[in-house]
Order: sequence, then C-alpha cells, then structure tokens
Amino acid sequence: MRIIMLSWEYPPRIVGGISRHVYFLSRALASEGCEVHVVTLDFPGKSIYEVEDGVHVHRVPVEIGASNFHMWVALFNHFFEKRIGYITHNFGKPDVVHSHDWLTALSGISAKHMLRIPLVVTFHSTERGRSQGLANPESYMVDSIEWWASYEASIVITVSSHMKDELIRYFKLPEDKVYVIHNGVDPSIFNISVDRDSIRGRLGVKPWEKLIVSVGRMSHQKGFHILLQAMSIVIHRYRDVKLILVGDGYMRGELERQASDLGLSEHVVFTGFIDDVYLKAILKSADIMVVCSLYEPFGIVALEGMASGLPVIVSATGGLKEIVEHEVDGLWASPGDPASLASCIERLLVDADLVSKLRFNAIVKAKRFDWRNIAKKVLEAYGDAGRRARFQ
Amino acid sequence: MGMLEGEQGFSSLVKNLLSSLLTLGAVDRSKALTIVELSKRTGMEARCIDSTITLLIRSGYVASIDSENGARFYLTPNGILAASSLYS
Repeated sequence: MRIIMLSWEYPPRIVGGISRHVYFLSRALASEGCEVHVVTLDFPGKSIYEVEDGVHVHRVPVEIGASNFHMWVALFNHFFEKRIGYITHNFGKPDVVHSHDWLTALSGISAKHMLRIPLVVTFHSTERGRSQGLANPESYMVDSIEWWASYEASIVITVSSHMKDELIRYFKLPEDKVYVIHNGVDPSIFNISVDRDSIRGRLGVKPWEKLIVSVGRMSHQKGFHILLQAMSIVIHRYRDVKLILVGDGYMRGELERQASDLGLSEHVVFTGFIDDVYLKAILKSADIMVVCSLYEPFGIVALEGMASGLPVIVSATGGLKEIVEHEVDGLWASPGDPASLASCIERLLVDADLVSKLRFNAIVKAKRFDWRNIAKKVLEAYGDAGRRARFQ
Repeated sequence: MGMLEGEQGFSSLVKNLLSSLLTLGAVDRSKALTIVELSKRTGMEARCIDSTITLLIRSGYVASIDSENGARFYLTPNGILAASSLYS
C-alpha cells in the first residue's frame, strides 16, 4: 500500500504532538510493508527529500511569501499538492492520503478528488478546544475547514474517546465514521542508561533534591501557570524540590515572571527547546512528571513519562484520563486547581510505596500503546476508508 | 526571554514579527530580509521592527547577515519553532 501522509510538522520541526505522532506512525507503517511518503514543511539543514528508516520524507519549501498565517497555510498546501503530483508521477498512484489536522486538510481534499483516492483525516485537537471557543474571525474559518475536512474524509481518526465525542457533537458526524486510535509510544527508546547525577547537575539539581519535570508548549492550554501556583504551595512544606519546565512558547516570559513573583526562582528551571536525546535523559533523571493541561485531546507526553518509569500526575481531563488510571498507574489532579495538584505532588514526595507501585504499573501500561499495534489499527481504518470513499 | 513578553505572553509586536518572518519565508540565510523589506511587506514601522528584532536576536530566535543593502534577518531553527507555536 502506498500512503501519502500530510503534516505541517515533522522532526526536527517539533511544534506539538503531531510531529512525533506522524514520525512514529510512518515508521510503524513502513515496518508493515507500506510505502509511506510524508509530505511536510522544510527545515534548515534538512534535505528536501530523503528516505529515513524506510519512510520517504519530502520537505517542501514554500516558494512564495504570505502576508498572514492563514494565507501562508493555503500557500503551503498548494506546494504540498505540487509534491503529491511529483510523488504520483515518480512513484505511482497512492492508495490513500492521510491529513493531520486542519493545516493540511486542503491539500488532502485536493488529492482525494484529483487522484480519486480515499482521504483519512486525523484530528489531534479542534479549534474550539484549542481556543476554548470561537472568539475571532480566524477561529471561525479554522473551525469551518475542520468541519469541511471531516465531511470530505472517508473516515475520521481521533486520538481519544473524549475527542470522538467532541467531533460528533461539533461536526454532527455519524458515530461509525469516527475511529478512536490512541497515540503510541516506543518504550524501547526510553529504556536507556544515563548518568543521572551528571544530568541533574547540569540542571542545577542537588543530589538530595526531588526533581519534578513538565514538558510542553508554553501556552495557556498547557496549564504551567497552575503548576507554578502548586509549587508555591509545595515548597512551604518541602524545600528540597526542583521543577524543570521543558519547552518554549509565547507564555514563557510571563511564566518566568510568575515564578519569580512566587519566590520560586531557586526552585524552577526553564530549559527552552531541547533535543530528544536530552529530553529522554531528563526523563530518566527525574522523580515525578506532571502534565497539568487545561485541555488535552491525548497527552503523548504523559505516555512518554510512563514509558520512562516516572510516576505521573495528570489533570483529569480529555485523553489524559484515558491514559492514566487514578491510583493505579498515576494520579489525577483536578484541572486548573493548584491545591489539588500540590496535594498529588506531596503524596509522591513522601509515599515511596505509592511511587514504586505507580512506576511499575506505568511501564506495563505504556507497553500497551505500542506503535506496531497502532499501525495495524490504522491499516484496518485505511481498508474501511477505501470501502466508504465517495467522490461527489 | 522576559524582555519579549507583554501581559499575555509575547508582546503583539514580537508575535507579529515572528509570524511575519515565518510566513514571508525568511527561514534561512538565502531568504533573509532587510528591515526596509520587512516594513514594506508587513506594514509595520521600520523603527518598531528595528527595536523588536534586536530583542529577537538576543533571544536566539532571529539571526542576521550583512549584505550590500544593510543587515538582513531570518528566523533561526528555534525561531521557526517559536513562530509556529503561536498557532498550535
């Protein structure tokens, strides 16, 4: 089967969870014998075309400048279409085109009609969820494209039951058109040996301090401001704690100021963007992971923490509730509630038996989310998409 | 980093300039733009671009190269990620 996978982000362009999702899914599909072509945006230092672990990666430059983001999205979809034409001519007609989120929906829909092949769209989130409503003209436009993509798709895939309910409610989709296929994790890549003392030393963590890690884009949605408030509660009782915030984004400056205002400067480290190798090393060197999103369709970071053997605390929201079972392989905190989050952190700081139990169960749970199983489910979904495809 | 933010994260000037550099395609040395070119294409005042771009360079999001027409600016890899994260 020849597959075209469309994604605006792909390593090393890692903006959110889509990048990792497409990276691992493509490799897993290639391992199943598929010919996978990822069409994505270019990135400095990377080739326009290369074959990585059996996956054909086409990094497309956008040759025309645009005056705003939404025009730019339309333009890069045009250049994606051009590359799809190139792939069809040079490798043969694809059997399916698979778009990820609204950003690549337009080129996916074009490919569907031009080539008369089934379109599959994976929704990793929705505009209404990301923006907590539709507050401006741009949001309405993105919401409309999401609806149009869900209509044009032969089948829709999403990453959690929570998201499935959201899509059915928002876009009035038939229940049997929406497939839930969770994100995955490759536990083997987290099973690494690291010099824990060296990594902790590099972060300024003293040997006796507990290290809490939280990873994500620094946006309001990720709830880092709640975590900082929780930390200000925790350090009143437990001084030997350090929080490492990994990632960057438009709220970073505000979060740094908040940390300072709360008297947390000695307890919080902002790393900014870091590469995957260093991230895995930090996860192996940490004691606790916190994922405190206010809105989270899935939460692949929590799964990566679990695969690393960390006890995880998650907000009881969206896909996070489907990954983590409260008191079994992690803890739930109330979303947006610093006191609830602080209480969970304090439990893990003092209860070694609970930590051991959560660590063990988390590693076992993570193995269920193997990308090979996910690729098999996606292939079944492609088969269904072929049977359901309509080209009116 | 703190110098970039307004009350809700990045200031609007920083957001506009980061976003414009991304969407205008100034993502490597060969596609770098001068302040005059940026001003013409974005409608932002050259003076505002000049002061904002200095902050973005200090933060590692923008790099510059010399040219016959003066300094030209483009997003670094971290700048591309930061600009993209405005929309994710």
